[in-house]
Amino acid sequence: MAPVAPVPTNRELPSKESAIFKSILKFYEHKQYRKGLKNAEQILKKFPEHGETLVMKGLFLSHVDRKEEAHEFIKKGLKNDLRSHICWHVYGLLHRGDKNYDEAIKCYINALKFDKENVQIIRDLSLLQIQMRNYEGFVDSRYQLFKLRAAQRMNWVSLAIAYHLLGKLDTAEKILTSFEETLKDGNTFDFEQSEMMLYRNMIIEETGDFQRALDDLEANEKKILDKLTYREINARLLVKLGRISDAEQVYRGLLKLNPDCTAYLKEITEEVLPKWLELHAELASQYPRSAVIARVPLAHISGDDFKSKVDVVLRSNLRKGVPSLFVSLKDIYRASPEKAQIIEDLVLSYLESMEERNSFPLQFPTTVMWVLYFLAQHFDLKRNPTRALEYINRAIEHTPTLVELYMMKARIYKHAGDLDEAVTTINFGRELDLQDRFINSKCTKYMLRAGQVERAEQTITLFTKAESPDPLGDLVDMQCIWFAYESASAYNRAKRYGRALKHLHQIDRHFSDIYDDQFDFHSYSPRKGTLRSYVELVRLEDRLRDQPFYTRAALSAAKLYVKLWELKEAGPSEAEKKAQEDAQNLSSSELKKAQRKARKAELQAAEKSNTPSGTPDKNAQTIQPAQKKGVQAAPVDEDPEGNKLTDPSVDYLNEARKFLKPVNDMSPLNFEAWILSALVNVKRSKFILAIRALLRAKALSPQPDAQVLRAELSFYKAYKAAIANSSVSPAVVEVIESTLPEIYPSSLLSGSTDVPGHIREFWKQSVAAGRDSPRAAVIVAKELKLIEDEAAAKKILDAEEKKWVLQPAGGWDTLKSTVELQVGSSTFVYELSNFSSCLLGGS
Amino acid sequence: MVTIRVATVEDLMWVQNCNLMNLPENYQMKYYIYHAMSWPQLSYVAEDHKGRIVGYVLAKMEDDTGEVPHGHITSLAVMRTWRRLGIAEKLMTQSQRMMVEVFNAQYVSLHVRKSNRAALALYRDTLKFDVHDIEKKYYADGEDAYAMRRSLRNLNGE
Repeated sequence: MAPVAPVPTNRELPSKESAIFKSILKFYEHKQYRKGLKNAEQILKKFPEHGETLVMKGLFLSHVDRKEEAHEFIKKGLKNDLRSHICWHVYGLLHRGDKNYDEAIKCYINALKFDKENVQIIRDLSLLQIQMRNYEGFVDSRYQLFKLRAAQRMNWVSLAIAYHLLGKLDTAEKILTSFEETLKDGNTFDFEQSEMMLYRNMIIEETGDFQRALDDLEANEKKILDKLTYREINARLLVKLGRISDAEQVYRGLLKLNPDCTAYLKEITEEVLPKWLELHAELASQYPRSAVIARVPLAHISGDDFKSKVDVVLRSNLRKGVPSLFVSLKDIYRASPEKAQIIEDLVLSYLESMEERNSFPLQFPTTVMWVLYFLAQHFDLKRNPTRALEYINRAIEHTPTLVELYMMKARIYKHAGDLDEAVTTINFGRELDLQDRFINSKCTKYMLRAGQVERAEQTITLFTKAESPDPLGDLVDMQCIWFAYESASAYNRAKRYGRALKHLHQIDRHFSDIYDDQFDFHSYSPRKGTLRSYVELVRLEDRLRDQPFYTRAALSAAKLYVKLWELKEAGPSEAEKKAQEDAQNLSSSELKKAQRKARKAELQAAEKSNTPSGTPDKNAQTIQPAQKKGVQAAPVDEDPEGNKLTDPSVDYLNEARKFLKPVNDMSPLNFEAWILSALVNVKRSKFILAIRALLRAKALSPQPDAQVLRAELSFYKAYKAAIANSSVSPAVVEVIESTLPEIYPSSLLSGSTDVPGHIREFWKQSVAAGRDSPRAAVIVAKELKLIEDEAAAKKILDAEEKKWVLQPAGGWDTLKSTVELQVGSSTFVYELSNFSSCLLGGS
Repeated sequence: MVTIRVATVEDLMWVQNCNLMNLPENYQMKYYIYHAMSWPQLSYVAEDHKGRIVGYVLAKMEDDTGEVPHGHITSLAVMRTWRRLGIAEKLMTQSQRMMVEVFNAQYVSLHVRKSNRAALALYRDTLKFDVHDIEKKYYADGEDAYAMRRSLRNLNGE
């Protein structure tokens, strides 16, 4: 034992209690918390001030859901014995349980002062260090463990991982190699060893020495059980080494096992036609069931060749009745109007031959319905709702019980702008198959889009746990992000901003939880041996918020906070005031309702017995994901409208910034995020941050860009005003002034042009560059103060943006061809076709 | 057009989304991560031409000691709009092969609700599972489950 500081007089226990204390530690190790608690109390009866026992009692309490008492006892115990490594260790565990990782690390470090070589504490510290991505600290701790317990295999492996993550690839590799040499190989191949070989190979590949990686891979072939991964790595390395024909052989082998993998196909066929086409024909005859192989050439051929090939694909899929046929051809439509026309002609000819001459070969009774379904989708894409509806209604006449048809019909209405009719239609479809959650989810989404929020909530909860007192809460437990986002958007449209923000914050919390989830795997994975997956997980968590679910939620939240800020600055309009009052009244009556409901449910629950909810798969024992729900009613939400989030005392702009930061950091190519960031920082008067964001946005978008213009003007005006007020520090002014010429033309900066003149010049350039879309025109008009309410134009302009490349045969007659915009107290009507020039008075 | 490939850690949030849209039995993300960290070779996804996950199989090996090694299907779903392409079958075929190759699985098992006729038909007729047993009140809402099995002995690696 290493020499420790003199033990305080009250730490030593007489032999009987000392033995009990040792058993407490064992109970903790074996997770027998109640037994441990009982025994701890035994000691405390005689020695109520014994620090180490007090903290252990606290620790046990924290595991039986008595969190507050746990804190009390642990703090008390620590106070009584500040030089005990056990006390500090337990305090660290408490912080870790509360996710205060920085505090926990401090505690462990303190604990180690009193027991330098305590393996348990060093291990716990290492887990926190990797969680906080302190790679150097992680290496230090793992190195210590390696020295102290070299016989434990896990310590070698974890040390290698630590060096790998720190970037010291060679060291990591050496450790794994030395370790491998200590394992005398018998003929027993084990999973862990196989994974370790692959992990080490991954490290070698990362050094860039592909030849060595290939040699290493081939040398260890027999030990690697995962033959699929072996071949994939083999092929990849061969490509990296330029040995394309060798790689091709391996990919062919892989295709044999999985003819539906486009990745393999791509690698073989990244070559020029026509050899490529021959290759395809050969593969197609080898793997007739592979949809992927049949489909890929279609993108590359044209004319009659295309026609004959697509005819085969269309006929067989229409016969079979494949709902996704149209969707899977969409990329071809977008790429080539001629091919789209060929498809249209073909499918219409099928219909004709079926209906007029009844002469479609190998027709099934349902084939004509699938043809009609296809045509409905086709004309919907062409934005011809009239014709699309015609076809879908005929299909429905043919087969009134097919859910897919109602989904499509609802889509047509949605695209045409009639959301209520879309809901009615899709709901009808939903009622045809109450067992299918997919149609339930889609129907819910349509309801939310149409602003029917309560109805949506009732619909989606048809598929949550029937007995639950809090079905919407269950959706949150299961991290149902799509519903949270759509709900937020619906509430936003309804101007119930607090509720919208609640959902968006919920999404953010899910991401935080998913980041925290990795913690247990820092110890689990090295033990299990799946090292490659573990490193993938760590790397994924590093950039977790680059996930599109986060991005769109964050951007919505940022925009909402900006809107709240603008409302606060402007003082709410009468309409806004009324909307807020209504929301307030709603919230207090809803609160009463919720309280009544909760009381009722509590009474009911007290009568029945409720089983705790667990995952349906009973075998999920090792890691416990779900929490247990006790015999309680749902917690009453004290703030259903989210008023705390929208309260005027909240620093809206700072909240917006907090949402935007991860997007800027992890999705640096997201243009909208930089624009928003610029606007937010302008409003916060953080001019350097704003100008940086502006430059990033500008670099990402083809110029000239109207959104960039708007952000630039916003910056310019705010900055000039701040200069006039002398509210910008000289250091900042210096930086900004040197950057301004990168953004603004000298004519504006020198004053020879004024702002409106600058804008008109911008528009001239936009027209010349072909960047004068109606949407850009609206932004420019707003900046010139020609219009006030650009939101009104947006809906119609959305249709303009989704316009298909081909001019719709049905023309624009079924859609609005004009835009109405308000200027002051008058409403002007503009023709869509020459909208831009009319709005801005010619170029 | 849909490609079939091994699920990566990155796919997991999309798999969870697909599961929530299609099935009433849902899991927290940690459980998905647990699968990927324990049996990275066994879960597969179907991805459309736009990179969206339209189907998945989430699979594991059963840890019961004393029993012969066998695989288990935690969850399987294909978006309704992508059905009739044999995606479920393709996902299962790949997963089952890996169960044998990497883990020496002798059979694969799964649970299905007694009332779920569509799933039953898929597993029994297309995927060649047999009903092995009935587990009473298996599901959280009290419904019985068919415990189904398929032998993997004849899947000897190609």
